[in-house]
Amino acid sequence: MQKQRLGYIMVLCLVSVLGLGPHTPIAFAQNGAMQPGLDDPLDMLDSPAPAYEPSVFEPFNEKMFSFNIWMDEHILRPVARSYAGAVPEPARLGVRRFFHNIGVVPRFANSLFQLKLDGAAREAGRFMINTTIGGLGFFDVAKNKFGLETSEEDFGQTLGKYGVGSGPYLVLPFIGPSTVRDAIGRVADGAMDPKTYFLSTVEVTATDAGTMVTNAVNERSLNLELFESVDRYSLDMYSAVQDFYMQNRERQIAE
Amino acid sequence: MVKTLLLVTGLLFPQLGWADSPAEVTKRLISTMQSCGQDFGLPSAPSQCTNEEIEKNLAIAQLSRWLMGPHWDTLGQEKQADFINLLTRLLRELAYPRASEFLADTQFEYGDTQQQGNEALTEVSVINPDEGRVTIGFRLNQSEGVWKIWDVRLDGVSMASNLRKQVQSLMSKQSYEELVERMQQTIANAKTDEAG
Repeated sequence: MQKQRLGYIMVLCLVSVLGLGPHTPIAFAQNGAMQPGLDDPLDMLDSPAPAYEPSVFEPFNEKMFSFNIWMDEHILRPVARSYAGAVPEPARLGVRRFFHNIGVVPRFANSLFQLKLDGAAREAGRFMINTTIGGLGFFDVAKNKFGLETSEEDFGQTLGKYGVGSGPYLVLPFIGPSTVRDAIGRVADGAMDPKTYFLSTVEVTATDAGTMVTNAVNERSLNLELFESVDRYSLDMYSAVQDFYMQNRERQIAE
Repeated sequence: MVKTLLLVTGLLFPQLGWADSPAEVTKRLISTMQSCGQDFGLPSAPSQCTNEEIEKNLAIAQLSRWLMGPHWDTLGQEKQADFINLLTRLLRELAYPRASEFLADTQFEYGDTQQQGNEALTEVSVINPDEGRVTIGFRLNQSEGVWKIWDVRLDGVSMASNLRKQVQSLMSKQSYEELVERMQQTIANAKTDEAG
């Protein structure tokens, strides 16, 4: 039921399935997110809607969007389907939790940058608990037994929190929807990865590529049906995804 | 006699204060859909489980104008009516049956209502064992004293804004005819999926 109800939004969210870094809002529907109020004069039924303004990168974005969709149709989805047939769902959910667990450093650091001290403390606690008694993060003991929720913060949100505008919408190859600010944030979050200080650039790139591909296949396998319906139920998939991404990021920054 | 008088006055002059509040309109819509569940739209369904009953609570014509934005006035009356009709069909095929099915066995907590002039936002929390608490915001607009719903926000993401972006993108980059074709295709897809 929950999947059906939130299916449309989740599907939009999952269009960015090729990019599964901190910017992918996997857990977007958690715990009563804040609703925007009534203070936006443009967001009233009686107000004239603003004219459509395409991103300055629109021609590039549309090509990249098509490329990502093609990659998904021809490579990611078939691989994910086979993977889903071979690995049971509980194991795939465990893999998702494992990848989430190892991405603790940017979430911890960005919680601190945004002075969300309880969020930083929760991330530290979650990492310690899940890495030990949670079997390297395959089980979310921190949430299920201790009620510690994750603090989904990234550097794009930190920049937004301190007043940096999103900049034009940008679709990145393999990564999916982003903005100029969030793309910069993604690089900064990558630089927080501890292994960049221990391994060579080639080793880091190879490790990251392997992680990204495995994570992408796993995540896609968990959302095979939802993802497929977006094309059938949206009038214009490109702008639907763009709008969802922009709204969702705005909400995350406001929280 | 007094009750009848009050009822008639309330119907004729809802702006005097007898019209339902935003929270009451939201509750009525949810409760209608909840009571219909999977029977919605079936010939055997109770009389309140019809598209028309649901649409009494929705501002579809105003929403159509808002979705089109600056393109609305360029359409002409005939195309405007066509677009309202298409949007209504889209909602009937996609939104109502799914919403009814979901609402049939979901627990709600009604939250506060914010009101500013002719706009209101009523919040409802859905409690789900898997996802936790999900907040649904119902946006309402008051026209001629009657409150009607025109947007649903799932965890802060506005469905109407999302649809507006798609409509205006197609109108700017393609044409009204292309938009109509896409809407018809989406309706057809929903019908096929429902039948399958």
